[in-house]
Parts: sequence; C-alpha cells; structure tokens
Amino acid sequence: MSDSTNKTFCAGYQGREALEQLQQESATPIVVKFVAPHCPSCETLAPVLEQLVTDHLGKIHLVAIDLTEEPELAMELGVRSAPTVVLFQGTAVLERIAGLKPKKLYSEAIQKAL
Amino acid sequence: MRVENLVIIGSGPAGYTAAIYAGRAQLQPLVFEGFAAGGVPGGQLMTTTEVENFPGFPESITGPKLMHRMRQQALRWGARCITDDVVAVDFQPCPFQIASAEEMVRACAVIICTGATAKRLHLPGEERFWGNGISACAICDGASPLFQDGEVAVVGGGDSAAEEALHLTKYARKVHLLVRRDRLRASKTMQERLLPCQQIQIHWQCLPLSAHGDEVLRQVRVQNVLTGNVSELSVNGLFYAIGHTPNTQLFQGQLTLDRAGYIQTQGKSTATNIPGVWAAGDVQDRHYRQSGDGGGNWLHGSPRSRTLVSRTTIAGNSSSSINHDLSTNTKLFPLSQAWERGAEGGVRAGFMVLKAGFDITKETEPCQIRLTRLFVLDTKEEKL
Ligand SMILES: Cc1cc2nc3c(=O)[nH]c(=O)nc-3n(C[C@H](O)[C@H](O)[C@H](O)COP(=O)(O)OP(=O)(O)OC[C@H]3O[C@@H](n4cnc5c(N)ncnc54)[C@H](O)[C@@H]3O)c2cc1C
Repeated sequence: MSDSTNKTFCAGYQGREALEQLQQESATPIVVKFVAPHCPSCETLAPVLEQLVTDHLGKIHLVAIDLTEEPELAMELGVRSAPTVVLFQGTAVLERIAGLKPKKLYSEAIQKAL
Repeated sequence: MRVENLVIIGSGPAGYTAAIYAGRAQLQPLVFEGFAAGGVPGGQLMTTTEVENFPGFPESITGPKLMHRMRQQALRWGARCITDDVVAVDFQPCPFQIASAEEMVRACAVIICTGATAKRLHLPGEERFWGNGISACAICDGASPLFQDGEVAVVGGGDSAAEEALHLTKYARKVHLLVRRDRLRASKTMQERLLPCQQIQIHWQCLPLSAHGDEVLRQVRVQNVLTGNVSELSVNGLFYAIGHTPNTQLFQGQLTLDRAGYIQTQGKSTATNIPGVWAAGDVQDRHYRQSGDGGGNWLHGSPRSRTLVSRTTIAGNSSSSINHDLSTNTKLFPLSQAWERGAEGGVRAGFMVLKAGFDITKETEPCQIRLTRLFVLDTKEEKL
C-alpha cells in the first residue's frame, strides 16, 4: 500500500488532453494508466509505475486517466476495468495490461518499448 | 543473507496487528505486504466502503483508511514493509527460507496472514468475460463505463452480496441479486438497507448457469433451482459475492491444511504444525472471518511471543560469554523450537546484542531488549 492515499492520480500528466498532446508532440513512448476512484489496486500500482518512470527518466511519459471521467476513450481502447495500463508509441497501442499484474510484466513491457 | 527475527506474510488486519505487536517487542519484523497474488496490500478491507463494527470508530471508517492507519502504526513500531508477493517458502531448513519475486530472506519465525480471495464460479463463458463484465469486486470495478446506467447482477446472499448490490446502485440503473436459497444470510442491518431499495430486484432460489456476449458480457443464463426453469437476464455486469478461498496454495505440502484449504492451528492457538510458523486471520479462521477477529486473533499468539522475549532476556545474561564461541558451537533453531527445547531443560538460549542499559530484573518489559538473533546451544556441547 502506498503511503499517500492520493497517489493514484499522482502521475506526471493527467487526462485525455494531455495524452493527445503528447501523442502529437513527442516520439517518446507513453504509459497510460487508467484508474478509478476507490480502486485499491490502482493505489498499489501507482508507486510501481512511478518508480519505472523515474528509472527511465526522460525516456518515457506517464499519463493518468480516470476512466469514470473518460468513459468514451476507455471504451475505444477496450479498457473495461481499473487499473489498466496501455502503452503507446504515438497513437499506436504497443501493449495493454488489464488488472493488477506481477511487477515484472510492467517493467518488461516498458523495456520492450524503449 | 540476513536472518530476520520474524517475517510476516500478508498485510491485512492480521498482518499489521502482528507487525504492531512484534514491533513493540523490538523484533523489527519484516512484512511482505503482497502485491497481486492474493489481493492487494491492506487486504480485503481495501475493497469495502464503511467498516462499521471495528471498535473505536463510532462514526465508522472506510476500509482503506483503517488499513492505512494500521500500516502507519506498524511502521511507527519499526516494522519494515516490502510491497511484494511471497512466491515460495521452505520451512524445512533452519532458519526458514522465504522468497518473493524480488528478494530472498531467511527467518527464525514466520507468521502467515495471507487471508483469503473471493471465490469464482467458473461458469462457461466466465474466463472470456472476466474483467469484461464479470468481477468479484464491485467496489473496485463498479465505476467502469460498462455498467453506467445499465443492468447488472450480483450473486450471493450474505453481507458482501448486499453491500455490493447497494454499492452498484450508484452506477447501474438496476441490480439483480441472485440468491441461491429462499432467504438471505446477510445481517439484519444489511437486510434493512437492501430490501427497501427500489433499484434492487431479488431473484430467490436462483443460480447463474453461463455467461454470453460479444466483446463484453451481454447476458447471463439463470436457473430457478426449485422449478429448473432457465431464463435469460440481459446484464452488462456479473459480480460474485459467494465467499472466499484461503490463500494457502503456497504452503501446500509444508503445513497441515484442512479440507477447505485453511491452515490448521493447534487448539485455540495460532501455532501450525511447524514450530516457529504461526497463522492468524482469515487464513486459519473459517468461521468468523472478520477484521476485528483477524487482528484480535493474533492476540492468542502474542503472550507467547512476549514469553519468548522475556525468556531470552534471562538467557541473555550469559550471552556475552558465549558470543565468541557461537560460530563453532551453535545450532540455529527457529524461535519457537528454541523455546520448546529450552523447556526440555537440555538447552540454553542466548542472543547476540543487548541494548545498553539492559536490566535483567525487568525481564517482563520486552521493549528493553533488542533481540537480533536467537541462538540455541546444546548444553552438552557447551564449553562454558
Ligand atoms: C467486501 C468485504 C467487506 C468486509 N467488511 C467487513 C466489516 O465491515 N467488518 C469486518 O470486521 N470484516 C469485514 N470483512 C472481513 C474482513 O475484511 C476480513 O476478515 C479481514 O480482512 C481478514 O484479515 P486478514 O488479515 O486475515 O486477511 P486479508 O484481509 O485477506 O489480507 C490478506 C493479505 O495477505 C496478502 N497476501 C496474500 N497472498 C500473499 C502472498 N503470496 N505474499 C504476500 N502477501 C500475500 C494480501 O496482499 C493481503 O495483504 C469484509 C470483507 C469483504 C470482502
């Protein structure tokens, strides 16, 4: 459990607009985490993703999206539950990890994208 | 590899309570909080809203807040937490070996508090729609856009089912509650909230048979257990609230489990069949399965650990003289075994480091000592 209950939303960027802007302007892979309010697994995952982004500083972006605020985007991307991590290169989806999975899976997916 | 005094596996109410007690006894416990294997860190209460029966919170407290506070309390007393799943244990060697995905440690004693995970029905179609409409946690998944203004079903007749159904009314237009029997197992308080709710329709003596849909769940076939009639329910969500299975796969073949998979403990104690390994909380308690109990249940274990500590206090008196001989003469035993062997009379126990200002006359005050290792010497071999 993370020390801060607010960690769920403590990513570098937030929301659909931020994602779309990054997709247009940056060639760096983007990790999007879809979260929801009161989602304990989202809170558990938060520090893991933050650590991975810190480990690869400048080589990867992290965007948090609340799926209750962006239901259309979530449906479009086939996101049905929180947390779901979608890894983008531009607008292309490289990987989708639904649910809380062993930490290794996230680091491997990010490694592959770099 | 460092040898830990005590490793606690799991971070629900039982795990953190054990950590608080052990921390206060200066054992510096190492807690594997879990990650994804058997529920999230913080345990089952992370998936609930209000906890109304935990003493000390007359206005009730949310599950996540309560668990956050328990964690803070454990940290305050020196527990060290690793947010990771334990993937293998070996209770044969002394000290025991415990491996997580990232770390391997040895420990003189282990307390297992891995709790339980929600049961699944394994219906035809369930695998396909798991996470795409089927879930075992309404609190976690209820907010998904899949269920907005739609119809959903909840399976179960206990408190969890009632709570899930009520919670889902925030998102879904209608909630069908499928109850196997002709009455609810839920507490009276819960029934009083559930029954008047217009958005909830109860289907008595009804069971789901299979799940159907395209990309996502669209229908569930249900059967009336009395008449055998099969019908279809158009729902986007199916939530299970049908009880729990203990998280004990890890310990199969090493600890004695009962037929349902719960860890068997001796009498009313928390001792397992392996000396030095204890189990507390839902993982060994199939009857009550309540957080207050999971926490309180460790109290059964605590006087024992305190005795252990005060006993080593006496033994500690001679530790300065036996210290340098330890490498050749010592046999390492897990704490409880040391205790039992000590009781047989043939063995003396000692430990390595005493805090400055140690006062043997105050042996019942565990916080005076800092127990870093427990060694057991066979007196016959002891050359003192
Ligand atoms: C929806 C719901 C509502 C509830 N409401 C109440 C209530 O209002 N009042 C009440 O008294 N009780 C309530 N309960 C019951 C209560 O939650 C449990 O009795 C209590 O959580 C049991 O505590 P525990 O510590 O034994 O196990 P759990 O809470 O199940 O915790 C198990 C811990 O072990 C960890 N774990 C599992 N496997 C591993 C592994 N391999 N390695 C490392 N860690 C692992 C998990 O991550 C978790 O941290 C509720 C339960 C549910 C599901």
